[in-house]
Amino acid sequence: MTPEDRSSVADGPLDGTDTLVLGAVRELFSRTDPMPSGLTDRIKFELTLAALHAEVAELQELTHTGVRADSASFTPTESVTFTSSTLSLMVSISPAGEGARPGTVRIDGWVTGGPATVELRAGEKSIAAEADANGRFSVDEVPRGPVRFILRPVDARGRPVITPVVEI
Amino acid sequence: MTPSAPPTLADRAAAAFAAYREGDRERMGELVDLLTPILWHTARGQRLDQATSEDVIQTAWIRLVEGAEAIAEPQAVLAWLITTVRRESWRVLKRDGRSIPVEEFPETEPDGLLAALDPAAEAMLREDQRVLWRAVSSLSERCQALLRIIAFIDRPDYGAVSEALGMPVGSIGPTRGRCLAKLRGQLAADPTWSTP
Repeated sequence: MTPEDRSSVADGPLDGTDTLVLGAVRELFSRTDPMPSGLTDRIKFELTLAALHAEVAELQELTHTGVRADSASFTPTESVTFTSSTLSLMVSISPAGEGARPGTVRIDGWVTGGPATVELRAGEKSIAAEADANGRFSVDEVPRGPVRFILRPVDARGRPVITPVVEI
Repeated sequence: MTPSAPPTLADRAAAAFAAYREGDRERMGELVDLLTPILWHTARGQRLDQATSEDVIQTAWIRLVEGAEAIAEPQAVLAWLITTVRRESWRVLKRDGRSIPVEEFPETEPDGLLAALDPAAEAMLREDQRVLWRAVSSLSERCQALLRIIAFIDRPDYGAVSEALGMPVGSIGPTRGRCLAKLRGQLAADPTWSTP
């Protein structure tokens, strides 16, 4: 192909071959250098933090071994404690009660450090829980899978706290 | 009823972003799912390593959330994010003194960017993909980066993103542009390539 040919090709309208070639380029890069699978979850987590101006709680202990990867990935667990500079949260997971939808569990939690409202995020789903005067709350029928908790101090001056994701 | 054209990537992004700005905060997740892949290819096309690419993309999303009101038209959100990722990539490259931005490379100088495909990745490729790989590798880095982004954009959106890609408006829409023409030239010259 001479330079002249090339320039006339460059000026020509996109044709079917161009569309096929671009489709092949797309497939090539999708295969050789795909976006990391956890990237969108990590971004959503960062955006939630930014929107809430939240502090990220630390995963303190698990009842059985599990490896914590990073704040946006998860680890299987049955009981777990999170701590932040102001609030702590202990959560335990038990089988859902009789008649509960299959694939769900019961969560019992205990917030210490001050009165706070609790929100449980399971994917796109959000479940609100009311903690009692002692900071205890429970939620029935939480679908199994990755969840995180957001604690909002009742005192409006307090900073919200968001936990890493845990697998329940 | 006449069937209307299916919504393009920019259309779907605009709808999610508009809904988000109207107060439907959940729609941001949809926007992230829609546009992060193309931002990945944008950052990686600038030769950022994987970890730095992630950082740059996260930064762009945070800026979007912080400055969402400054974007005049929801339709512009795709171009805005691509522009932000490109600029942030250049800033990081210059800050670290690691290399000069791809955009400032001479147009004629191919580089070993794509040649350095690791053997595991290469083993996954079909024969026609290896041929395409060689052809893409022979292009200038600038062309490689451009084609890599364009390949992930729906054709009706070319006009909306041409400015973000530093292209004269119209040069990737109605016409093919030099990079695609060069790629086709390379493929045509390769006897083992048969047009798909």
